[in-house]
Parts: sequence; structure tokens; C-alpha cells
Amino acid sequence: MPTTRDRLVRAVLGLYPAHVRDRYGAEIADLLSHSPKPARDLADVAWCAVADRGASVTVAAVRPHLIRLTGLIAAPFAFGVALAAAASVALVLLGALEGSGSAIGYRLADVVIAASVLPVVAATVWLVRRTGRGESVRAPLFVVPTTLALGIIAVASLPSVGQAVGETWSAAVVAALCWYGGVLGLASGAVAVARRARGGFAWLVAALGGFAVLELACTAYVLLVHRAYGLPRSSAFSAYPAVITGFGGDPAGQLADALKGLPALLTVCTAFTVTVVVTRARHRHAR
Amino acid sequence: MSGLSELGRFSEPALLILVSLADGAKHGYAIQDEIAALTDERPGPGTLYGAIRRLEEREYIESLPEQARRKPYQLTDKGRAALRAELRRMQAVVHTGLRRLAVS
Repeated sequence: MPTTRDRLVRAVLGLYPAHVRDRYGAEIADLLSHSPKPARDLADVAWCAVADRGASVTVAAVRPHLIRLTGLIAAPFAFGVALAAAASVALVLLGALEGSGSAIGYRLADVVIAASVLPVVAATVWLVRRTGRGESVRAPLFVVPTTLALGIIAVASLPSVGQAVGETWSAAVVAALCWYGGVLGLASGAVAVARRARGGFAWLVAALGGFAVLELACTAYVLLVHRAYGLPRSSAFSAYPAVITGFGGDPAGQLADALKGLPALLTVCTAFTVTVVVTRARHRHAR
Repeated sequence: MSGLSELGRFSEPALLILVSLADGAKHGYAIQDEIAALTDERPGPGTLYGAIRRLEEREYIESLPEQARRKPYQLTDKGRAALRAELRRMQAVVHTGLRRLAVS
């Protein structure tokens, strides 16, 4: 059973570039394990390791990481395009139904547009589970939520396009930050459960936690804008299920006007984050 | 700049490591003990192995096969020459400094 000192020693050794760690790691660990001043020596090793890593950084070594991080920051924009495409297909199908004389056509527009999130979530989860087992992104527990939150704020800040994820920029940013805080906690919890429990239970916890995080973000948004839309304060609570399902009558329609595509985008980002961290955790646990 | 001074912040620990190895091969823990006895300050493992790595890269020291799971290091001829040159330079500085202090 590794002690706290063993874990700390492993963590600071992990800061060294691989070639230094491979060559001197065991000897440094030996000195650390016998150190009369462990805190000072751990700090000394951490400082030297970071300095060595900084000295060994080259553009060629950093480029793949930068490309991945840029890809993650751009992911919310790609999700937004996929959601818009799915909603467009849904509307075309409804139009075809209406044109063929069916009475149900446009009456179900809100529900069908809301349901078009499902194929995008399913495709995202499928893609991540197929490709997300590798170690291409370091520290995904922190990196994935952080880059996605930056990407969501970037999308919300785009002129014209940004309004598609909420008409009020400041409320969209607050919602994105709430989502970020919530999803960091959710991802940590989901990874802890994934390491200890069966896969099905881990996914269930992730789904329920994800729902809570999305409700938190949408509630924060609606609380900031409800007066401008003439909505009662109470409508902020359960805003997410009302908008994402398309059911709920009048307040749901007004909420959808306020939130626009934000609930759908956050849903896909949550599914992406949770799938990446749980898939990675289960893969590591299985090795 | 030449010799140990090109090692920057590791030049002082590097000199102390060379001094420690001057009378024979030692492993990291023994080098650390000896430097602590010499200077009243035990170098951290990061600093110690940062200096050892730089000395090895410049071929001033070399590692020997492991003994009891610890790897000893010894001076090379190049390292011995570098240590001698550094100590002579320091001796000249010390001599000059002491002479001037005595004069004043």
C-alpha cells in the first residue's frame, strides 16, 4: 500500500522529462524516501524538475499538445454546427410531413428540434468511446472541462453567431462558468466511481450528475435574465428539462427564446467531458 | 566562461560533488552526506542530481555498476583536471583576498 510520501514522490518525479526520470528517477526517489526534511526536498525536486522540463521544451514537442488543445477549444463550435445541422434536418422532415398532409407537422416543432440533440450526443459519445482510450490529452480531468468552457465562452462571444447560445452574453458566460465548476466536480466524482464500481453504475452516476450540472447552469442563466423576458423567478428552476425536452407549454417557449441553443450545447459538452474521463479511467483501471 | 562556471546555478553543488568524489567513488546518498558535513547544508535531491547530470554530460564524472541497489559515481580524468583548475583558481582568489585584508 503506497504511503502519502510515496504518492508525492511519484507525483514530483512525474514532473521530470522522461529521459531524466528514466536515468535518475530511482536514485532521486531513494534520497527522497530517506530524507530528514521531506517537504523541503520534495519542493527542491519539484523546482528542479519543472526547470528541467522548461529547458527541454521545444516547438516540435509542444506542437501536438497545442493542436489538441486548440481542437478541444474549437470543439464547442463544432458541436454547435452539428446541432444546427441536426435541427435543420429535423425541420426539413417536419416540413415534408406537413407537405404530405399530416396534421402533426409543425405542432411538434419544439419537441423535434429538442430531440435533435440526441443524435449529436450519441455520435459524440460513440466517437469518444472509440478514440478516447489513448493518453493523447494529459490530465483530461482538468484540461477537457477547462478548454471546453473557454470554447463555450468563445462561441458566446462571436458576433451574431454568439446569440445562438443565449441572447445575453454576460448570462451565457456566467452559465458557462457554473457549468465549468459543476462539471469539474462531476468529472472527479465520475472517475472515482468508475475506479471502484461497475461500468453501468458509473455511467448512471455520470448521467444523473450531468443532469444536475446542466440544470445548475441553465438556472443561473435564467435567474440573470428572467425579468427581461417577463418570466417568474421560479421558472429558472427546472429550466433545463423544460427547454431540452421541448415540453412545458408557454414558459418553456419563453425559456427557449432566452436560452436558445445553450442547453443543447452544454448537453453535448457534458456528454463529451464525462465520456472522455470515464472511458480513460476505466481503461486505466482495467490495465 | 569555462569549466564549472558554465553550469550556472549548479556550479557550486557541482564543485562540491567533485570535491566529494576526489578521494574515491561514492553514491548519491554518501555524496549528499559529505556535502552536508563540508558545508553544514544538505543539498536537496533535485539540486544534487541536477548537478550530477550536468557533470556526467560533460564527462567530469561517470557512473559505475550498481552496488546494493545504489549507483556510485567516480571522477574521470577530465573531471579531476577541471577540479584541480577550479581549486587553483579559488586558491588564487583566496590568497589575494586574505593578503589584501591583512594589508588593510
